[in-house]
Amino acid sequence: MRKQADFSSDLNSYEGDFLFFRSKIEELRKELPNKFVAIKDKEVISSGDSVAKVAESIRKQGIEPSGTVIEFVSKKEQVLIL
Amino acid sequence: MAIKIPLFKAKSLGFERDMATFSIKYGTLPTLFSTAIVDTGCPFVILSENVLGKTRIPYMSFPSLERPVSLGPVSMELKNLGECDIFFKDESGNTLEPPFKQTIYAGIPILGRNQKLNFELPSFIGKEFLDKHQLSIVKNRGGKSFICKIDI
Repeated sequence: MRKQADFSSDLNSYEGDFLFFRSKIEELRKELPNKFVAIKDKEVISSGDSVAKVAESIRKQGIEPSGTVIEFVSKKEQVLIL
Repeated sequence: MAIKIPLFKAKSLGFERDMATFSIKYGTLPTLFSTAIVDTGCPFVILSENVLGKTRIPYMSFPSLERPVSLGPVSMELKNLGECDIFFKDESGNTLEPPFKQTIYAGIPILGRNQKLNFELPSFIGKEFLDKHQLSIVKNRGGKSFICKIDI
């Protein structure tokens, strides 16, 4: 069974990686438009055309996808009122 | 139990939104992490297909909600994944215990053949979660948002 402290650390680093993704989104739109990117420890570690492909690629690097930020980089920002 | 879940602000779908980070334990599979827009306009807790695609959860085989649902121009099918344990962190960054038991839906965009979604599809923490656990979204004087339990 995992210790609570380890789990908290995972939540905090996941949030940090998500915020890193958001802060770099305009650069990523130019470099990797319409691709999925995986972010770990504030670095882009993989990119591809689908979540499944990116997940498989990082699994091969020994990284568990379910704990990794994988986001879509849209070419243009979509604005939606919820 | 005092509940105070810090939210963070990030741009999603064109606007700055209040968002939360959480994890889900689903059966024996590895813990699934996600961020979500916290929005009372969304009725349910919905995990985006982008999040579920990272896992081996066979979400397409789950029963669908019969009513049609849309997010902007995209029609979505909601698959009921059943009740799961959701973990949040508190202000100090520690995991809140016990986890919240909540029905979760998978949001699957309905697309035509060879059609691809050209924008991000976020996850949502909606009204059903807040209502079930008697929680509210509040702002402190500094403008920081939280999900809290308030006794009034």
